[in-house]
Amino acid sequence: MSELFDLEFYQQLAEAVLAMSEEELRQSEPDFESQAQRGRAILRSAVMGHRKKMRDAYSAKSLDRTPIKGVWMPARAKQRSFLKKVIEKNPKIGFTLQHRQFRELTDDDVEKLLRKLAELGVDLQALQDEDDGHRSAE
Amino acid sequence: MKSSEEENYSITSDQHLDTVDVVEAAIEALTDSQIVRLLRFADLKLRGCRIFGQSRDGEDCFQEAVARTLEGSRRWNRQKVDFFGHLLGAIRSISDQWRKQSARAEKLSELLSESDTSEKERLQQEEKMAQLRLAVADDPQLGQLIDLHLLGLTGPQIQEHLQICSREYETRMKRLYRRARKSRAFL
Repeated sequence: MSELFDLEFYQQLAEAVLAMSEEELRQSEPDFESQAQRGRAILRSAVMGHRKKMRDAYSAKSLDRTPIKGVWMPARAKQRSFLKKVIEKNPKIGFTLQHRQFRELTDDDVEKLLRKLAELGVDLQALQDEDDGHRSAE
Repeated sequence: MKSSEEENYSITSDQHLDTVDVVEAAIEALTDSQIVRLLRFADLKLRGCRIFGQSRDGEDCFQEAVARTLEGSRRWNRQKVDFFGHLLGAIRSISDQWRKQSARAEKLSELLSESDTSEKERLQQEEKMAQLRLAVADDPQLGQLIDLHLLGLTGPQIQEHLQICSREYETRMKRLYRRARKSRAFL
């Protein structure tokens, strides 16, 4: 069976589907209704997926564009472990945060939380200095 | 006061949101028949399409057509074409692109001696064709049509060989499709 056959035969059948009347199409598809539902669901999910992508891109963008003046922030790769340390040092905040599934937080969530903590008055820079101090003393 | 960058961004976002809303409404306005037609069309266009072990079918193509429209890489000219026409054009273009990629990937796999899968697929394909041939055994015109396709003849060549017009050829192909779907042995 040649490659040309594969290509030509199915292309020709595809064109035949386009040329069918609505009645012919309905008659040839025993599961017409369920196919229509599935097709519509796929199209809707593509739109939903795009909306989610847009929301994520927007929140990442607004996060980048609204830095809090004077807030020190560790490098992106270190933010997660740093957040854990902040929680450990501030048990009151940790009480709320520890109930959340830490692993499920995205990198953006981690950065947002650190910014929120800084807004609430937690001195991130001081905590980092303290941590560095402990390390150099060791 | 907003910076020019922020203003540009918000304008783009608003326009984009408008497009998403319009596309969403257009999806709801599609009839069941249009959706099934497009889905079946996409499925047939991509029959046997595989890119590095991943098969691509009509559903993938459907999703991609909407995604490209929303991302702006496939523009929908609402003045010239309705949403059905737009999706049809997108499906044609995406399936052609994927088919080319599939052919390139297949060649590469052959070079890397990974053609066991394609050999298996070829055998499965032959088996399916035999089933289809059996399903239309009572209709010699359709049997002849399959045989000529199997010989590698194109649509116009078959029309010439059988001395039939394009309309008659189309009618026979539609009948073949209906029989194939009904037999459930194939397609």
